[in-house]
Amino acid sequence: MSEDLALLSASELARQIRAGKATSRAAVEACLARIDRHNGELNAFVALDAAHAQTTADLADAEAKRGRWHGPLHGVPLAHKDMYYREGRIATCGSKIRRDWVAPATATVLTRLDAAGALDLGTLNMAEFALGPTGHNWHLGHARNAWNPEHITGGSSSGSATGVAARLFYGSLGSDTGGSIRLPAHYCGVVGLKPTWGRVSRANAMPLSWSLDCVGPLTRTVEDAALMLSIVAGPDPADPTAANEPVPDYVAGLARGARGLRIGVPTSFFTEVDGETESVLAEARRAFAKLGAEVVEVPIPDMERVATYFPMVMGPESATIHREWLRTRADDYSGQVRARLEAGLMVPATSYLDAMRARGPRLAEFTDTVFSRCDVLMVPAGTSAAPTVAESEVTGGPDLVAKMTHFPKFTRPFNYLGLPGLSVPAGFTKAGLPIGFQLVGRSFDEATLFAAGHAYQQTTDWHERAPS
Amino acid sequence: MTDRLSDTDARLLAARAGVTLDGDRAHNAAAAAAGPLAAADGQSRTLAFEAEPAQFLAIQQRCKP
Repeated sequence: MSEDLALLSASELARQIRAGKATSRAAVEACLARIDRHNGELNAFVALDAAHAQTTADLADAEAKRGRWHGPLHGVPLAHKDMYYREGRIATCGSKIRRDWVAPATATVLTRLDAAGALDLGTLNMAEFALGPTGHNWHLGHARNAWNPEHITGGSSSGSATGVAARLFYGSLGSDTGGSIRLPAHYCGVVGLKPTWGRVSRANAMPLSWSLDCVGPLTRTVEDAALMLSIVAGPDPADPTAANEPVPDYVAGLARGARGLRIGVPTSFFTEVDGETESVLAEARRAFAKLGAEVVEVPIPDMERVATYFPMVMGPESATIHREWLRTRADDYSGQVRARLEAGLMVPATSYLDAMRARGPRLAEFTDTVFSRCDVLMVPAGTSAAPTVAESEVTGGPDLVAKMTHFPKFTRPFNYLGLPGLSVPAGFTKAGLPIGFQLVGRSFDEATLFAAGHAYQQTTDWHERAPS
Repeated sequence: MTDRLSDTDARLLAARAGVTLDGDRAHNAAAAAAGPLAAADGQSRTLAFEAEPAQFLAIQQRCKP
């Protein structure tokens, strides 16, 4: 079976299936061949259901022959982080505690992707309970970076990022509480979108911190991310926190391009990156200028302060969610995750509420200061390319949280502010590891991020490169 | 406000939530929370209804394009 089909983007595969140039079954077989060759090393999957994927692909092809189309992802194989519940299926959430837990209901986002015709190949590796920025998992085994298995994938959406990079499937849902979509996307050379808080329903997805959690796609192209968000976004009666905002046609909006956009470059906080990352960012800024965008320096508010509010929210909320298991099954957590959850118990209610009270005013301040001067803010997604699995392994100790804070330094502030962020691949280190940049926009303005990112990908080919 | 809980206080605080922090777990948990606790202090001096947590959604609406 040719694996060439697996190299297409989700959007292109969907077009080929619609045009009768490809079949869903052939796409599934191409993915299965790559999974067979690469998953042993990458450890992207928790559970692969090949037979189900083949059966549903055949059904999709039969319906296509009859002219019955389910939606824009008809017959396209996806796979998702193992925290999106599907009724009757085990959802481990990357943990020992939920190793055998069978979900009683299906996540709204999976229901919407099913209705759009997407296939589901199986469940993907993730940090234990989505709490970890590196991709280490001491229960399921660490996921490995498709560009170099000695290096981390980033987390917590580890299997999603490395699987999309390795072309094991065409796209994936991750989740992002402090950077868990954008950081692994940066480390693995794929596109990752954290939408505005409230943009996408979280019904029947595993919670980590309800004030911060966002559901979003990891894909090969910005166009694919726009397509997936178009499908999963919008109000949901099952999730009262899903915003009652109209969902634009994000794919149609891609044509807007980058000409005339003001791309903001911060003058502080986001400047602390290594030399190779800065070179990639500088080249990306030049690419945007060539596209007709105006690249402007912008002052930003005190981001150190914004960043330190983050653990004041995530700590107590995650400790609350896990409190019962901390009492009864504490030894079933890995050392790192248990220690981080226990730190959340140390935050007084008044401090948590201090951080929550500051959230709205800080968002207003950031919007007034930054988005009065630019349409999109361009910042790094990480301080460097992916470190090795060995050098980033931390299991406990008093400096655990400080070490963990280093990785998502440039992503966490936007979870606290609830703003959308899009990670886009933009180059490689001399050692061949991917580096991306992050575009940040106003609340509910994912469309502008997509337009800018898509325009960038029309003149660059970083997203077309696949690991050998 | 104290930046850092003592190990004893950390153990007692966890116990209020029904969680036992034995060995050096109390020390590590207190150390992990110390920095952010100091940083968040001060917001309580903001005497304004617009800073209530429930109004984040309203402010988010005002921050749209």
